[in-house]
Amino acid sequence: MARKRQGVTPSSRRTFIKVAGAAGVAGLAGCAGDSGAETGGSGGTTTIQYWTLFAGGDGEAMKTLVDRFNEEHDSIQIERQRQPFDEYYDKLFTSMTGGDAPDLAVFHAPQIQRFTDALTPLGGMLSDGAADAYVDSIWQETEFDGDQVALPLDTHPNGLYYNKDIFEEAGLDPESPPTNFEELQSAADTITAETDKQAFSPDPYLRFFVRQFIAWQHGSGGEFLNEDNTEAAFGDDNGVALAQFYHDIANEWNWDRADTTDDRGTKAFRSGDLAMTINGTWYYGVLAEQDFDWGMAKPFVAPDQSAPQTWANSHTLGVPNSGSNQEAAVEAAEWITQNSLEWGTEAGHLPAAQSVLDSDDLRSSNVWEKTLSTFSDMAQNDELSYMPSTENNENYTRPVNNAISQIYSGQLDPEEGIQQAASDVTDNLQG
Amino acid sequence: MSTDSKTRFTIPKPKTVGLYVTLYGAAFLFIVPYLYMVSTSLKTEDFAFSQQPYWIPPEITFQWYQAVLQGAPILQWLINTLVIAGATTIIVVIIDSMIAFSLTKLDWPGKRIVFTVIIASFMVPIYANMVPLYTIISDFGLLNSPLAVILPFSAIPIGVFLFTQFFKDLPDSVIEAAKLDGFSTFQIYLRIVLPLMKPAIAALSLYTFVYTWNQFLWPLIVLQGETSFTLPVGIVTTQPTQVFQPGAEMAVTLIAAAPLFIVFLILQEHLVNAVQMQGTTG
Amino acid sequence: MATKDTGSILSRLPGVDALDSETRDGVLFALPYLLVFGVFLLYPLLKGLYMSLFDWNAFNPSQSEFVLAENYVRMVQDPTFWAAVRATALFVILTVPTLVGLGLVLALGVSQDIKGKRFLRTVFFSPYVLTVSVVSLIWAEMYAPQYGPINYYLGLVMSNPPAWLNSFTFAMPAVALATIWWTVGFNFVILLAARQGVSERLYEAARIDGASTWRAFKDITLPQMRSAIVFVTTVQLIASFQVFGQVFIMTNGGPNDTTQTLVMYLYRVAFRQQEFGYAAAIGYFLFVVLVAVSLVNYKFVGGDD
Repeated sequence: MARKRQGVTPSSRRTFIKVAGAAGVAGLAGCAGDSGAETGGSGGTTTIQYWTLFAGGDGEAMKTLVDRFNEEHDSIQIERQRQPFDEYYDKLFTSMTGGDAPDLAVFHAPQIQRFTDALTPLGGMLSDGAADAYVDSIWQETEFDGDQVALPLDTHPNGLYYNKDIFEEAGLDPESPPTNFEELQSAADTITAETDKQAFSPDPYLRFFVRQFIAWQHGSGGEFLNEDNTEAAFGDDNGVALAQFYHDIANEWNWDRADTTDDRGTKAFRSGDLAMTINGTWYYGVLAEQDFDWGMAKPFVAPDQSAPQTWANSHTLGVPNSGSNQEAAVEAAEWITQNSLEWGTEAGHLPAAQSVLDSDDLRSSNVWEKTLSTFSDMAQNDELSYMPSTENNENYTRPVNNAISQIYSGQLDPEEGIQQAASDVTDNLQG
Repeated sequence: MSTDSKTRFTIPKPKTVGLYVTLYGAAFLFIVPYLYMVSTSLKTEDFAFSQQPYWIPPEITFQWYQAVLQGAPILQWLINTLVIAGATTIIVVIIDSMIAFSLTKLDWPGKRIVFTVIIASFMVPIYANMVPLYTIISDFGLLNSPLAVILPFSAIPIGVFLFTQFFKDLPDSVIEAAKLDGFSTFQIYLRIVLPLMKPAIAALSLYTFVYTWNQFLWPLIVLQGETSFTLPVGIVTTQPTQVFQPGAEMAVTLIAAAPLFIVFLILQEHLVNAVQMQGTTG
Repeated sequence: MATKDTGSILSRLPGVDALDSETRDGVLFALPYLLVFGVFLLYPLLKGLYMSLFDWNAFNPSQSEFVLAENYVRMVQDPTFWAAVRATALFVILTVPTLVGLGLVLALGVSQDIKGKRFLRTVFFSPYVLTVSVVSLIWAEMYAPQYGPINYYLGLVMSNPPAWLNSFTFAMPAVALATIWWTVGFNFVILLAARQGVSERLYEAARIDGASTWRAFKDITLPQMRSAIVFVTTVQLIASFQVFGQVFIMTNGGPNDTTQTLVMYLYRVAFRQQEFGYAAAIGYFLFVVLVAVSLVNYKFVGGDD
C-alpha cells in the first residue's frame, strides 16, 4: 500500500529496482548448495507455502534464493506468496485466526512477540549446530522465553545517504560527509544557501520517524521505553530536545519543506532535489538506478550523540504452528537463511549467517565497498538500536510517528507534542 | 418544447452562453484526472519527476506498462475479479428473481413478514457487519476463496426490492392464463416471468456487476494470497514496488480501469438505465 | 377463468392439496435467497451484537470473556473513537450536500436544450465506473506536494500552496473533492431522469402565468423531483457514513487521525489491534446511526412514497 502512515517496521519493499548487476550474481548461483539434511523423497514432494512481504530489489533477491532452493531440492518445493507490506501483519494475523496460515513466513524481529503463541518453537527440529551458524547478537533477537521461534535472515540498519553532486555544487567536499551534528549543520546550511536544493530529511518516507528517533534518543543518553516496556521514557529532556531538532529542520533552518506527505523525501532524493537523508540498507539497490553520484555514512548527526546509535531491524523466518509441513518448513528456513549471499549482494542487507557474512564473495562485492562495510562496522561496534518488542508495536509506533510528523510539518509544538505522545504510549502499553 | 424555441436560431442569449461555458467547463475539469493518468503513465522517469507537469510528454515510453504487467499477476487478478463479479451477478439475478416472483405472485403464509424483514434490512451496511461476518466466513473455511466475496454480496436485498417493484406490475391475468394452460410454477417463472422481465434483469445485472467488481474493503479483508486478489485490491498492493514511479503507478491504474471503462462506453445506455431505474423505483 | 376445462377448474378449487402446492412452491422459490440472506446478513447482525458483549479472543473464540457493556463504555470514553465520529461527520457534511447539489445543477443543465448532451452525460457519469483504488491513486498523484500538477499551478499564483493530504485543514476537503469527482455522476443520471420525467406542460403553464425561472424551479422542479432527490440523498448519506477506501489509500487516516473515519477505525481495531469485541461494538454503533439516519431522512424529507 503506497500511502500509509503506520511505521510498523522498516521495509525494503519501498524500493523499485530492476536488479542491477544481475548478471554478476547469476554466476554465483550454483556454488552454495550444501544444506545439511536432505530428506529422502519417500512420499513424493512436499510443497510449502511461504509468505513474504518483499518487493522491488528484495523481492528479486528472495526470488533468486527460492528458485535456487527449488532447483536443488526434490522432496521440498517452496511456493512464494508475496503480500502487501502495510497489510502484511494484518493478513498474517487473519490467516492464523482463520486456520489458513502459511507453512513459513517472514517476520520482522520486533513483530515476533505478537505472534509467539501461534509460532512453533524450533528447538528440536533444527539441525545440529544451527545456533552457531548465525551472528550471535542477531540469533538472540529471535529467542523468546527461552524458545527459538524464528531464524534470522539479516540485519538492516540505517545509514546517512548523500548526493555527492549536490555537495560539489555547494562547494563541499563530496568525500567528507557530516559525522556529527555540528558538521551536519554547517553542510546543510551551506547547501541551503548555495543551491536551490533541499538539504536534509531524517526520513525520506516521512512516516517512519520513530525508527531513527529511538536510536538518536538512545544516542543522547536517553531511553525510549522503560526497562520492562510498560512506560514511555522519551518525554524527558532528551526527547524534547530531539523533537525540537525535528521541528527546526523544516521550520527553523529550512533544510527541508515543512510537509510530511508520504514519500515526498524519497521522491526528492531520487530526483536529485534532496542532498541528505537517512534510510536502510535497501536503499543501495534503489540508488544504483540513479544517475547521480552518491555516498553513505554513519547517521550520527543528531545533536548531542555521546553514545551514537542507529536504527536496525532483522528479517527472520518463522513457522506457524498450525501448518502440517513443519519439518520441511524448518529445513527450508535453515537453507534460505544460510545460503543468503544474494540477500547481501543484490538486496544490500547484512546477512545473519556468519559464513555468508565472512565470505569473499560478499566482501569483494560492490555493495560491500559502497555501504555494507560501514553497516558492518556499526554492527561490530554495538551501535545498533532495535525497536522494542511489545504485544503490538503499533502502540508506540503510531503515536510517535503521528507526533513527529506534525512537529516536522509545523502543525504541533515540539515539547507539547512529544510529551503528549509519551503519555499516549504509556496509556497504550498499560491499556 | 415550444415551436418558437426551435425556430429561434439567431444570436444565442447570454444565458445560453453561460450554460455552455459552465457545462463544458465542468466537463473539462472532469477530464483532467484522466489526462493526468494517461500522460503520466507514458512519461519517462525524468519527466514524471519533473516539477512542471507535461500534459503531452516530450518523450513517450511504454516501459511502465511492461514493468507492471511483468511484475504483478494482473491477468490473474482480472480473472478473479471477473469470476467474483460474474458469479455474484448470476446468483443475484437467479435467487432475487425467484423470491421476488414468490413474494408477488404466489400466496403462502408468512410472506408478508418475510418481505418486511428483507425490506427493513435494506439499510444494513455490510461494513458495520464486517467483524462478525469475517468470523463466519472464517468458520466456514471460506477465507481466500472467491465464495468469501460472492456469498455476502449475494445477500444484499436491493435486487429483491427492485424485482418486486417490477413483478407487481406484471398483470396477474398472464399468470392465470399460463396456469390454465397447465404450466407448473417453475415453467411460469422460467417461460413467462423471466422473458417479460428482461429489462429489469439487464439493469440489475449491470448494476450488480459494476458494484461487485469495484468492491475494495471486503475483498481486502477476506482474500489473503497475492494470487487470489481482485484488481481493486491488487493494484494497491503493487504500489510499494512502484510507488516512486508515478509512471508505473498510473500505468497500473489505467490497466485496472480499462476493462470496465470499455464496457461502460459500449453499454452506456443500459448502465445509465440501470442506475436510473433505482432512482425512479426506489 | 372462463374456460370449461375440468382439469384446470379442479386445480383452481380451494382444496387443501392446491393450497399446499402453492405454499410449497412459494417457499421453495423464496428459500435460496432466504438462505443466503439469513446466513450472510441476518446472522452476522445478531452475532455482532453477541460479540460486542465479549472481550473476544480471535485466536480461540471459546476463551472469550463475557464483559457485558464494557466495550460500549470504552467506546464512549475513547477519544480516538470520537475523533473518528467527528471525521466521519465532517466528510458527510463536505460531501452529501455538494454531491446532491452539484448533481442537481448538472442534471438541470444537461436537461436544457443544448448540443452534446450525450457527450456531457458520458463525461459526468464515467468516473462512477472506476474503482475506489483507481480514483484514490490518481488523486493522490494530483495532490502530491512537490511533483503534482495542482500545486504546480497554484504555485504560479500563490507562494505557499497547501500540502493537501498532509494538512489538518485541507486533508479532508481534498479527499471529499476526489469523492465528488468519483460519484457525482450517479446522482446526476438519476436526477436527470427525474427531471426529464417532469411534464413540460407544467412549465408552459407557469410561463403563461408569468412565473420567474426561480419560481418555476421552486414550485415545479423541486416538488416534482422530490422522491428522486430523497433517494440520492439517502444513498449518499449511507455511502458517506461508510467511507473507507479513499481515506485508507490517500491518507491512511492522517494527518494525526484527522481523516480517520469510523469504518477505518473499525478496520484498524479489528484487524490491526485484533480486538474483535470492541470492533463489533463500533460496528453496531455505525449500524444504529445509519438506520436512524435513513429513517429520519425518509420521515422528514421523504414523506411516504
